[in-house]
Amino acid sequence: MTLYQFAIGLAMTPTNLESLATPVTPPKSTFSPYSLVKELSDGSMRGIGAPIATWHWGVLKRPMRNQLRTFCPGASAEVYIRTYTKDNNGAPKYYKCQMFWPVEDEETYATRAVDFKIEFRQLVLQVDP
Amino acid sequence: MTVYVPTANELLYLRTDGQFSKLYLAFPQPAIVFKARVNNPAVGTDMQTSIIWDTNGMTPHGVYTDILPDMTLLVGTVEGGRDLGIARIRKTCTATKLYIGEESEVKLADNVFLTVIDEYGLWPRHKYVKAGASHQDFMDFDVTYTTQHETLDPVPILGPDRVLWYQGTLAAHPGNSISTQFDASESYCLSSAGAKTYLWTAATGTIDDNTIANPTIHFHSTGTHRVSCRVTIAAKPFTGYRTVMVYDDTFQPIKDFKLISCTGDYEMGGWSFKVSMYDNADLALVVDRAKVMLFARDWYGDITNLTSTAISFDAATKRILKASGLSIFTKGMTIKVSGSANNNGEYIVVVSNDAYLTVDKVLVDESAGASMTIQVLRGQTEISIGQIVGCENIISSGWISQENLNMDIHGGTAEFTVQGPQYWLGQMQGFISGLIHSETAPTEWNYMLDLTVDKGLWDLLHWRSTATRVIDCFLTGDVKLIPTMESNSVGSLWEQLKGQAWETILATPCCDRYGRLFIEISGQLIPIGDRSFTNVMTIEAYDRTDEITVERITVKPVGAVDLTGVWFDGVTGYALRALANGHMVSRYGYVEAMDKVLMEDQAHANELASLLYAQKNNEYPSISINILENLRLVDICPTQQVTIVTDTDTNPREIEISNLSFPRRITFLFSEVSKSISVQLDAEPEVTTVGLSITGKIPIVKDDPTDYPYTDWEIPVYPPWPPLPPWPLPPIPVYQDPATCQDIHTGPYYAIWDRTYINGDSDAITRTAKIWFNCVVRNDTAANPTFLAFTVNAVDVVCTTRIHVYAVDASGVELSESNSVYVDTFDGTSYRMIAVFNANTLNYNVAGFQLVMDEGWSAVGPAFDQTLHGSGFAATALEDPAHNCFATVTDAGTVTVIDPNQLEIKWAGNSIAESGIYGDTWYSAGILFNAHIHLAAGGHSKIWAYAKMKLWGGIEGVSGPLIADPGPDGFDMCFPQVDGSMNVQGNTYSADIGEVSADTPFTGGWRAGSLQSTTDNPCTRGQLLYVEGTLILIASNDQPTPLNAGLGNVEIYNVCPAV
Repeated sequence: MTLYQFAIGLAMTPTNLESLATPVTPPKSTFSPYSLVKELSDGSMRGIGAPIATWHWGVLKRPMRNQLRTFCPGASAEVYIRTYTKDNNGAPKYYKCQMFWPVEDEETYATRAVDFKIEFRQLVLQVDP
Repeated sequence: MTVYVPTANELLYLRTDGQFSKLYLAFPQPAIVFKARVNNPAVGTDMQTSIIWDTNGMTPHGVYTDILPDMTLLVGTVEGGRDLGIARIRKTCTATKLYIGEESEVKLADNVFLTVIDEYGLWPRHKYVKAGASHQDFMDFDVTYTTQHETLDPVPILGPDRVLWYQGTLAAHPGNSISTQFDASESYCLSSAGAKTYLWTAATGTIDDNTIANPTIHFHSTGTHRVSCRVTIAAKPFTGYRTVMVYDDTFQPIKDFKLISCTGDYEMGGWSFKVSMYDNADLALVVDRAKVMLFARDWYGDITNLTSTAISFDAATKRILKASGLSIFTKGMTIKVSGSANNNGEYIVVVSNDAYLTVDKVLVDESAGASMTIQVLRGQTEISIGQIVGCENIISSGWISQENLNMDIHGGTAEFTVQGPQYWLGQMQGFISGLIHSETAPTEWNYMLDLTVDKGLWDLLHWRSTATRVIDCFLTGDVKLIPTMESNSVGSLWEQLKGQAWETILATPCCDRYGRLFIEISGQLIPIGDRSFTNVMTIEAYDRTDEITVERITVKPVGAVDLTGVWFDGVTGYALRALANGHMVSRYGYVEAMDKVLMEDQAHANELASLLYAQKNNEYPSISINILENLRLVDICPTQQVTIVTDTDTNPREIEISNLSFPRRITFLFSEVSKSISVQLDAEPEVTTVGLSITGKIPIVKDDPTDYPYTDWEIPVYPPWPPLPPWPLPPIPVYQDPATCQDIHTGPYYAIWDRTYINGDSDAITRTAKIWFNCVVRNDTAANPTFLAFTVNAVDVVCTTRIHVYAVDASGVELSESNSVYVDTFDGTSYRMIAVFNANTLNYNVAGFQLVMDEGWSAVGPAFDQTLHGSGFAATALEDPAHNCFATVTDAGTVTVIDPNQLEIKWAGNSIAESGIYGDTWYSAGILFNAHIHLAAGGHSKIWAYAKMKLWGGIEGVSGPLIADPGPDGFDMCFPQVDGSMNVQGNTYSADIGEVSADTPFTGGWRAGSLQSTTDNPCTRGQLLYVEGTLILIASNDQPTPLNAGLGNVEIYNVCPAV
C-alpha cells in the first residue's frame, strides 16, 4: 500500500516511488506551472515556459539515491513522472519531462544523502494512462 | 504570393500561458550520386571547365547519367573528400567528362577523388566573353544565345525546404509514413502567361499525383530527401529543387546547442542566426558552409473549450453531462467551469466520455439551460504557428558563414553564424550586368525583348546565379518598359540586384526567414490610393511586455526631393521631373536628388516624389516593442503590416502614434530558463499623408554663359520645348561665375561615366557616355587649361581616334569639342587618354562632359567575309639611280588570317628590300598592300579600314654583321658602327576608304622607310625588314555585335567646380 502518488519511469506508465525495486521515500515536492512570469503591457501577467517540479529529500538513503540514479545516469534524461501540482488541491498529474540530476556536490552523511533535490523541467502534461 | 493571417484559434494559442519550445538544428546530408577520379595527368587548376574522369580502381558508385546540372562536386584526396575544393556541375556530363562551372579554386590533380552529391546550392554562373574583336558572349561558359531573352525560362516557386517529425519510429512498420504538401502554383514565366504543367519527383518518397501543382508527398524513411519539380510554361521547362528532412523518435536532429541570436533585418536584406554547439559538430557532420535549418517543436497553452446550454451536472456520480462532444476533454486535464449557478470552479477529469466527464470533486445537481463554458486550464498543445503551411516549425534557415572556436579543457564550443541567401549572393562577385531593350527578337545575350525591370532582375538571378533553382524568387510585378538595365558598378550579385531594383523603380530585395527572395517596392512608396497591405495581426497591450520605444524626428533630414526620370514607350524616352515639397527647399534638410527612375507619367512622378519626401521625413521612423509570445507569423518580407495598439501606454509628451506599421527588424529571443521564444519587433509606422509635389521644370542652359547664374526659375511662360534629351537627365545646374574662376591648378576631381562602355553602333545611346559635373572650364590658352584624363579599354589604339570629347550644357547640348584627344599611356590593357578643351571664351560654364564614339566603331559580325588576296603584297624598292641604290624582293610575304570572323588580320613577311651600298644618302624601301573587302548580302552601310604596320630594319656595318635590332616601333634608332640612323617617314600607314556598299578592292598606299648614312662608306649596306602589320576594318550601323570599349573613371583637372 503506497502512501503517496509520486511516480517515475522511462515509459508512459511510471512506477510509484514506493513500489520501485528499491523503494524510495516520498519526497517533499514543489510545482511551478511556468518557468517564469512576466508582466504584460496591460498590467496582466503571463506565465512563460513549461512547468517545473522539484523533489526534495532532507535525507535520502544511498540505495534509494542509487535507485533514482538509474533513471538519470547522466546530467539529464527524459523521463515520465507523476507529481503533485497546485491545481485542485494539488492533485497529481502525469508529465513527460527532463530530469536534472543535481550538479552540486551531494552532501553525504554516512550512507545518506543530505538535502537532496532533483529538478524536472519542460513538463508536458500527459493523458492519464 | 499571399501573406498569411492567423485564425482566431491561432491568436488564442499565441496568448496562452505556458508557451515553450524545443529548438533543433537540421543539417541535410545529401546522398552521393556518383564517384570517380580525375583521369588527366596534365590537368590544370586555372579556369577549369571540365574534368576527364575514370574510376581507376574504385568501386563504381552511381552512373554519370544520374548527374544533373547544378549538383555539387566534391574534390578530395580521399574518396568522398572535399579537401581540394567544391565545384558546381554546369551541364550534362559524358562518359569521359564532368562539366563544371569555370573554376580556379579547386586543386585538381590526376587521380584525386571526385564525388557528386545530391546538393543544390547558391552559385554564381559566370558570363564568358570570347576574346577578340567580336566579343561574343556566352553564359555559364558555353551557353550560346538562341532565344533565351525572347522566350524566358520559367521560375519554379516550390516553397521552402521542409522539416518533418514523425511521432514514433518511422521504420517500425512498413506502412508508417509522414507527408507534406508542396505547392508550385505560383510559378511564373515573365514572357508568357500560358498554362503551367508540373512534373514532381521524389526518388525517396511517393507522390499522390506528380503532375498537379500541389501534390502530397509521403516519406517512409528518415534522413535527407530531395524533391524537385519541373515547371513548363510555353514549352520552356525549368526544374527547381528543395530539401525535406525527416526525423522520428530514433533519428533525431541536433539539439545540443544554444541559440545566441536570430535576427531578420530589412536593411540587411534578410535573416541570420548564430548558435553555439558543444557536441555533434565534427567536420564530417557540419561541413564548411553547410546548409542549416533552425526549427522548433512548440507548445502553447491548451485552448480547448466548449460553450453550451445543454450542460448539466449530476452530484451522485460527479459527472458533467452533455449529449455529446465532451470527449475533447481528456483524462487528467484540469478544466474550469464558468456560467454555472452552482458548479463554477476547477476540476480534474477522472474519466472522459463523449457524453459525460467524471471529475474529482463534489458537484451540485444542476439542470441544463444556462450558457456554460468548460475550458482547459494549464494544459499544453504541441503546435507550430507560422506563415507557410507545412513550414511553421522552421524558424530560420541558411548556410554557415562564419565559425568561432572556443577551445578549452572541457571540450570547448563552436559558434556558427548562419546567413540567408542575401548574404551569400552578397559574397559572389558577378560580371557587371547590362541589358538593352529590344523591340524585336534579340540575337545576342545583351538584348532582351521588351525589357522590363523584372526581366533584368530575373536575368541576374537566373543566368548569373543558381538562385531560381534553389529558392523562391518573387519579383516586383512592374511591367513598364525600360531602355536599359545595367549595374552601376562591378559588385556582388546582391549589390547589383539592389542597385538595379532601387535605381529603376525604387524596389528593394529582401529574403524572409525561409530564404525566399522578394523584390518589392517598399510599402511607403506605394501610392496611397493603391495600397492594400495585409495586416497580419493586431498587437494588443496584452501581447507586449516592457515599454515601447519610439524614435521621433523633429528636424527633417530631407529638405527636398528632386526626382527625375523617364517614361519609355519602347522607342523613345520622355523626361519627367518632380519636386517635393514644392520648389522651395525646407528650412532644414539636404536635397535628395534621384534620377533615372522609371515612371508611368508625370502624375506618377509627382506622387513618387511626395512619397519619398514623406518617407524620408517620417516623424516616427521606428517603433520598438517586445512581444511576450512565440510569434513567428510576422516577417520583414513580403510586405505586411501589424497594428500596434498603444492605447494603454502614455508618455510625458502625450503623443499618439499611427498604429499601422511595417516590420523592419525582428529578433527571436530564446530564454534558456523558460525555454520560450519571445520577439523584439522594430517597425516603421506607415506614412499616410503626403505633402506637396509639383512638376519640375527641365533645366535649360542659355547660349551666353556670362548670363549665369540665371535666376529666372519662375518665368511663367516657357518657349516651346525643344526635343527632350534622352535619358539620363542632368542634375539641377548650379553655376558659378566664370570670372571668379582663377587660373590655377586644381583637381583631380573624380567622376564616373554614366555608362560602363560605349560602342560605335548606330544606337546613339550606346555611343555616348556622360558625366554631370557642373564647373567652369578653361580653354587651352589658359596657363592651366582644363583637361580630362580617362581610361578606355579598347581593342586597339586606332579605335581611340574615334572618340570625341565634348563639354556639354545641362541639356546635353555640346558646347565645345575637345581640340586634342590623345593617348597618354597604355598599360597593356587600357589606354589613358587626355582631352583638352578649346572655346572662344577663356572660361565658360559647363554642366558636364560627354564622350561620343563615331558611328562605325563596331566589330564585323560573323556574316562578314573578308579576305586578303594572297597576291596582294608587292614590294618595290624606291630606287635612286644616282646613288645606285637597288632593292630586291626576297619574299612577298604570307598572309595569316587570325580569325575569319574578326576584323584583325595579321600577315608577316621576310626581307622585302635590300638597299644599296652607298652611304651619306637617303635610300628607301617599302611595301604596297592590297585587300579586297567582300560584303555579304545585306551588308554594311559604312566601312572604314585602317592599316598599320611596323617596319624594322638596320644598316650593315663596314665589317660587322647586319644589325637587325628591330627597335620598339619603326626606325627610330641609330647604329653606332656606321654612324647611321634611320629617318622614319611615319611608322603607321592609315587609310579611310569611307563608305562601302559593295565588294570593294582596297588598295593601301605605300609604306616606306628611309635610311640615311651620315658618312660615305661604300661598304655600308642597309636592309629593311617588314615583319608585321595589322589591318583593321571597322564597320557600322547594322552590326550584330557592337564592339564595346570599356570606360574607366574620369579625372578632371583645372576646373572650378560649382558650389
